[in-house]
Amino acid sequence: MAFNILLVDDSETMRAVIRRVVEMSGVPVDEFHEAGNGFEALDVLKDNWIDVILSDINMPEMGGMELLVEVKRNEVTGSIPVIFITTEASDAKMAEAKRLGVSGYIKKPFVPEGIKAVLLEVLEKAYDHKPISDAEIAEASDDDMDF
Amino acid sequence: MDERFRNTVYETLADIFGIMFFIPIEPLTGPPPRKMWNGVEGIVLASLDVTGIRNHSVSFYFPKELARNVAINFMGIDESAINESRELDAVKEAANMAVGSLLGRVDPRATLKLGIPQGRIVEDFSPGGLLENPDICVYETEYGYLWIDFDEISEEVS
Repeated sequence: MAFNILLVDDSETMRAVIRRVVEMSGVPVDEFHEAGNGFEALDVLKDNWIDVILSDINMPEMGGMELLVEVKRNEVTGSIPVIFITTEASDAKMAEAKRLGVSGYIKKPFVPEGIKAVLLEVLEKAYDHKPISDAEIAEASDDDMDF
Repeated sequence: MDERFRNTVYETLADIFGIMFFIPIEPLTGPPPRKMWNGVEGIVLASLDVTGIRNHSVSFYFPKELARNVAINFMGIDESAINESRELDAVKEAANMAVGSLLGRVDPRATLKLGIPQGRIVEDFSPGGLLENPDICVYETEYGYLWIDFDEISEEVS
């Protein structure tokens, strides 16, 4: 199974970096979609099948927390796992995100292995099977994942 | 500026610049000399507000060469693909990560809110009052000196 991934970040540069890291991780990706804030992300969700959302929290117009609330309260999108990739990893903020239904979070600055580990764990839990085999994980781990 | 807070700032910045940009930084000890600005071809300024009980502003002054190398290393692309827009985007993200990570360390209850980073090129920069500001943090890198003006943030969160 290959996944459709929605990247939400107001920084085009950060979206490009995350996309590159995910591509290197070995997680099978069908399509990447991108949005610059929560409103744009909701528009993408209206027209596209998305399997997982990787989102920043601190964005203009609509931030990640508001996006999470909107995604979870819609019965069509409610089961889509949301992962925060954010600098805002205070205990209080993360507790709030967990209460609202976030599936995982990755703290910036991140290393590629960090994104890969959280993404695999969340996808496995959400879709009840391993997105890539143990052999593929081992093989991907041997690859050079430096930026 | 409180010494403990100054150390926390350095640890946070060193993490981010080392892990995300592969650029080691070292804090400058003592007052920064005016001659430090000689030969700097321009400054890329990234700033963002922190709001809460009181409002604060944090400004990052990147020499252009440092901004260019932050963008190159962050995006993993060739220097020929770097333009002003990408430099600005990269330094805004650097400032966002730095202040966000710092707040995560000194404000665990999240009483302060991080603003959206803004960036601009400053062609005719003059250090002016920065040199007299005791709360300024200056770091040495192989691409020039990074200056950070914290605008009283330490008094509220430390």
